[in-house]
Parts: sequence; structure tokens; C-alpha cells
Amino acid sequence: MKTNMIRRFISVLLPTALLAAGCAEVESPLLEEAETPAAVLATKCVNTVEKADDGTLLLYLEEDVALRLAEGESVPEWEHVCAELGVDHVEKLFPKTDDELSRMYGLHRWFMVSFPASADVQKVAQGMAKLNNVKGIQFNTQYERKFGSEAPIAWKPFQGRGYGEFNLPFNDPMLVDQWHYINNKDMSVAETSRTGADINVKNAWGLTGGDPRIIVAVCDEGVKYTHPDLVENMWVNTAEIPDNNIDDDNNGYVDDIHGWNFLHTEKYPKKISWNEPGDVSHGTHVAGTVAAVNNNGIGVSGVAGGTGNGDGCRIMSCQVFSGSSSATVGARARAYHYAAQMGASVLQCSYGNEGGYITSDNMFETSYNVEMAALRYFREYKSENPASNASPVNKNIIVFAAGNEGSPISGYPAAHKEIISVTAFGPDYLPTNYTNYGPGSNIAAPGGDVAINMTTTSERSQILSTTAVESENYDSNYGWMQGTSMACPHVSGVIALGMSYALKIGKTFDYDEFIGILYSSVNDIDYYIETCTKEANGMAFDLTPYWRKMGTGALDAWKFLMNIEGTPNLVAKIGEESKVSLVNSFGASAGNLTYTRMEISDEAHEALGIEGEPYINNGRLFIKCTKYGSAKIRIYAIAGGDNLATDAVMGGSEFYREVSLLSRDSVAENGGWL
Amino acid sequence: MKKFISRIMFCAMALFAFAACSDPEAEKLEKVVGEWHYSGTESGVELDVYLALSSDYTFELYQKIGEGPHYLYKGKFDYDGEVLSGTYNDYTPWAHDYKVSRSGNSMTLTSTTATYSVTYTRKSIPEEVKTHYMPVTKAEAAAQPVL
Repeated sequence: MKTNMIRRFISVLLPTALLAAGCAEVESPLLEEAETPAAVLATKCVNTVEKADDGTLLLYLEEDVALRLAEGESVPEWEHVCAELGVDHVEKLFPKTDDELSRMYGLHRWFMVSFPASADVQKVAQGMAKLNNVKGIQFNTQYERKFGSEAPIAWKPFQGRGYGEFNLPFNDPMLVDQWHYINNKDMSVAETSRTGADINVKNAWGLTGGDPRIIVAVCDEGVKYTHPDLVENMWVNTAEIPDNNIDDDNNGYVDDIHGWNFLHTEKYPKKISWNEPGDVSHGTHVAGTVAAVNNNGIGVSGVAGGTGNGDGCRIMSCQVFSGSSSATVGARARAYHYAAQMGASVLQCSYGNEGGYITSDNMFETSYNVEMAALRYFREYKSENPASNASPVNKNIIVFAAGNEGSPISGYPAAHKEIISVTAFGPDYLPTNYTNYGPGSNIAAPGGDVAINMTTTSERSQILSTTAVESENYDSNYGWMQGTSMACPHVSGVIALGMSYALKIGKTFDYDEFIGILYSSVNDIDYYIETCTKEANGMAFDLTPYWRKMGTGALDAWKFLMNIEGTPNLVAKIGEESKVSLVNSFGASAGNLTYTRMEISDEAHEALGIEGEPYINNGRLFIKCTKYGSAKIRIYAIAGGDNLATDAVMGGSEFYREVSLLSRDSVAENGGWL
Repeated sequence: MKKFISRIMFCAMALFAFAACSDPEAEKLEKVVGEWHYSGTESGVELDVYLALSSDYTFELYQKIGEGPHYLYKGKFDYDGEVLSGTYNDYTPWAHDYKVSRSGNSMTLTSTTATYSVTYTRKSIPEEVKTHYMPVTKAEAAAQPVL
């Protein structure tokens, strides 16, 4: 309530205070006149005007001024300049910033100013830059929609079946068409459909279907929270009373029950929407993949949608796209901040820049300054109240789509080393012709591949999920879409499933450890890239460029849960140099990974009697132990590509697995006991 | 009646003939075929191993060394009545060939080349283990270069 009042106060205060300021003597707040406006702006602005939103600008203020504005105090010099430039509204970018982490990332110092869309945004920026207490300026850049403007292809019953067995764990009637969960080589999906080209979640559902304490924030178009196959798994802000027009929980958002529409500003308030002209069900489709309600006898299944007992993970709708409106950087940053404060553990984001538009972490962090700060805030934020964020991992996790341009480089933000970048494979277990790949890409998941089919049933090789179609007939509320946008929620869903399972078995994880487990819970997609051929749109499709470029491998939910239980010891033979396979620790792609380093403590050296310098080659640890014993060693590898990302150069993210090693006098080379 | 007796006689002869020609291979295999279990501790690490040897000369090995689930290895074995040897599906040979000695419900495997032996007891593999394991598949193994 207080925040809203402040914002309203600021809004009203500006023009009236200006009159008083006209007579007051204040220390000159302006920079030397000798500097040109463009030169001044250049010293403060972090990005270019390209793709900037008309009518808004983001400002990073001197702390003192930020606090004064937040408290609704008059800042005369500010008001003068604002009036001169036609700025008619100022609001804090992040409503609630009284926590230590918000201040650590300077989020309390970010403000958004609004002005008529007809104004020249560059001129407004130049004018604001003249103020000494404006320390930074960011054009409110829009992300272009990374998905098409076409609505999903509606699901319809398919009469014939190809090969495959359909012994399904849930009674959701369309699960049989969700090859991306259970691929039984259904020839009606694709002629080249391959058994196991899925996320291997069937048996994982026998261990857990999710946990309502795990919340996934879907940053996307608005999620149709009334969808019959989603409504039960929608996150509900129980501290808020619906539609009373009061910010009951004092979080800065009025009546936020299932999330918020961050395209909303005080000037243009809107509720979460999914059927504006131009909406294509993208957010609802993504949400269904994460956690459509399982075993409820209707529609589809979701990766972390529970088992039909109200036990699915929860979906928070953080709307950053609407119709033809793209998400501005301010809206996105607000969404991440909100998601963190309201208890989300996973941030699911199927959008980003084109591959190659941003080419280093440094460049992204500079150009998208406030967004990176908000992303880091999300990652680091842990509520003191375990009921609001029960995640067993000590940090939250961010997942982005790699992009759909077929570019040999992941788009940003996905490519940033603190973010998971998801590439897409088809029902043939092979890279799709649209997926970005290469530096910055971390892990692959099913994204659908219409190009491998040239038949009338081609839509069946895409991803089936919920849509936002308004219809009494629920069967029409489902449809097919494809893209890394669709691959991405598979990873988010599996992460949520893994968190749920860790809660169930009472295990907690350090973030790096958990991410290491995720990256190594994979099947070897490079094996298929090396040994198979593929056609796309009826033409031969060269797979060579994709080898070792799709991330660590193809996501496997079952392996993820098994690895969450723990990793068995590797075994080395005493007295000779052992070649210990790392497949059990680093996943099926262990032989194709690039390993960066090992940490072996003095105690481990002593316990195992290690002689010489252990090293790794082709996914095998070469080590000579001379004593019976056991010890832990930490091995680091690169998730995606051969080189490690630095601030200046794109590359893979470093992750580690801590492996336990047992030395004994009997073991096969592949780690087999016999 | 006469016809009936002659039929019985024929059946009895057939049974006798069958018994007389019983498969020596099967008899030999009987000694090792079945499901076996070993558990113990080495250097503070808990070991839990289930071995299923089948009459078609295939084996399944569920091993858990330390924490986590059991890992499943598959392959083929050979047994000449005295020595048990085998190869995993990724063509990796067993660490040893083993001399087999049986006693009651126990089977001791002793390396033919090293001072190593381990004793298994006959025990059905629990359903929990059969459904709750990490596969070590051939495709995965094939991805490993042969050094």
C-alpha cells in the first residue's frame, strides 16, 4: 500500500513541485554546458536506442536521490528537467526493495520515467543525462518475440497408430501423443522416430510427480490460468484477496493472485491476459509442458504436473509478452524480481536475443545492466520463510531457450554462464534445423521438428501441450508447437521434478552441485549425430556442425532423479594405472566432454596412495592408486563446447561432479564389479 | 486295453530316452544359474551387488558401491563347469576369470589369476532393485572410445 501511495505521490508531485523549484536556489544539478548532450549521454548510457520502447526510459540514480524519490520527497532539480522533457510519470522500477539483496544489486536505485510515445526517446535520454544524480541510463529495450505469430496447430484425434507400445502411467488421454515424454518409435509421429528420443520421464513419475512447494515462474505470454488442465497447478498468492483492489500483502502489486502482467505500468494497467490480438498461446503452451495437471482424465500431462493427487509443482504466470507487444527490459527485470520475492525456485524463459546479437557475457551484462542485476537477484534470493520457497537447492535456477535461428551460437541471455541454455532435438534424437547450438549451449531437450515430416500428419512431430483457445470443448484447448521455446520448459519441468524428489528424500544441494548433476544426467546425443543421417524439408541435413555443440547431451529425467539420490563410487584397481570410466558420474557424453581441472586433497592422495598426476582422457580418469582406500575428488568439465566462457569470450559453463573413488584389487575397466 | 498298455509303455520309454539324453550343458549351468547376492564393506564403503546368471548365458549385474541407486550392467558369460568368465555388453571383459565353488546356498568366485575371492549367496533380486536402477546401456558404452 505504501509503495503505491509513494508512486502516486511522485506522479502528482512532479508538476506541482516544479513551480516551487522555479524560485528556489539549488546547487547546479547539471553537468557543464560545454559537453554536448550526446557526449554526456554516451558516458552514462549502457545501451543503444535500437529496439528501445517508445515512451519509457530506465534510470539508475544516485542513492540519496533514489531514496528521496522513493519516500515521495521533492527533488526540485529533477522536477524541472522532467517537466522540460515532457516526463509525466516516475515510478520505482522494483516496488519492494527494502531487502538487503535488492540493495546489494542496486535495484532500489532504478526508476522508470514515462513520457508520451510521440516524444523523441533519444532526446529525453540526453536531457536526463544532464542531471548529475542520474548515474546510469538504459533504453528500455524490447526483446523481439522469438516465436512465430501463428497459433498452434490444434490437436485432433489420430486414428491410426504406428509402432510402439502405449502402457502409460497416467490417464490423460493425450499423453499417448506426447512422444517428447515417452517416445516408443510411433511412426505416426515421424518415419524416423526413435525409441527413447524423449526426456525419459515415465519411470521418474513413479518416484515423484512434483511438489506444490516448488514454484516455476513462467515468464512469457500470460498463462491461461483458467485452463481446466492447468488451474489446479496454478500458483495462488494466498496473501492476496482477489479483486478487492487492495495490495493486501503489500508487495507492490494489487490483486496478484496467479502472478502479474509486467507489461502493466501505472499508466497502462492490465490484468494477466492470453487472448489479446496477436497472442499465440505461447505462455500457456510452455506452462502445460512444465506442469499441466497429470492423471486427471483430461488432456495432456506435464513434466512436473503431479500424479493426480494435488501434488504438482506450481506455475506462476509472469507475463512479459502480450499480443504484438514485446517484453521491455524493465518489464522483464520486474518479473524476475517479483518471481524471486514471491517464492519461485525456477525461472522459465523461452525468449531472448538472436544468436550472435550479443557475443559475450560482458557485453550482455553491460547492455542489459538492469536485467542482469535482476536475474542475479532471482538466482541469489532465498526467502527466510521456507514456506514460500522450499527449494532444496541453495540458489534458484534460471533456464532460457537457446534460440531458433539455426545459429551456431546460443542467443543471450541463455548463453550467459550463470544461465542454462537449452537446445532442441526432434523425435529422431537429432538436432532440429532451427535450433541454435554451439558456444553458450548447455543441454538439449525435445523441441519438436516438423521439418522431418513431409506428410499431412507432420504436426505430430511437434510438442503437444495446453493452449489458450477459448472453447467449451476442452479437446480444442490443446495444440502443437515447436521451437527451443518448447524444449526449454522440459528442462525447467525436470529441474522442478528433481527439486521435488530431493524434498521427498530429504536431500539438500549446493547450486553448483545440483547443476552439475543436471548437466551430467544426459544421454549421448553425439552418438546419434555421428552415426545417423537426417533430412529436413525433404533435403539432406548436414549434422556435422552439431557434433559436441548441443550441450552436454540429451536431458534424462530418470537419470537426474537417480543422480539426486547419489552417485556410486568409481572403482580403481590397485597397483596399476587404472582407466576409470566417468560415464556413471558425467553421463553418457562423458567421452565427449572437455574436462578443465581436478581437485584432489592431500587427504585423498594419502588415503588412496596416489602416485603420479592423475589426468582425464576421452572420458576416463587415469589414476594410479597404491593403497586400499576411498576418497572424494572433484572433477570439473565444460557444459557445452570446448572452451570455458569468460567475461569476454563465449563458451560453456563450468560444472563439477564430486566423485568418490574406491581403490581395490578387482574391477573391470568399465567399472563393473565382476 | 492292450493298446492302452502299449501306449503307457511307449510313454515310459520316451521318458527314459529323454532322461538318458538330458542336456549336459544344462546340468553344468545349473551350478551357477540363478540370482545371487553379495554385500559387504570395503574401506568404509558399502557394497551391494546382485548377479543374475541366466541359462541363455546372459547376465545382469546390479551393483551399488557407496551411495545412490544400483547400476545395471549386462553382458554374456561362459562357464565350462569349473571357470566362469564373461564380457560386458560394451565388450569389456570381466576383471577376472573365476573358479567356482558351491556349498549349499553359497557360491564362491575365486580369481584364477589373483588372490581375490568373493562369496555370493542365493537370493532373489528385490523388485525395488529391478525397477529402481541406473542403466549402463550399450549406446552409452559405445560412445566410449576403445583405448
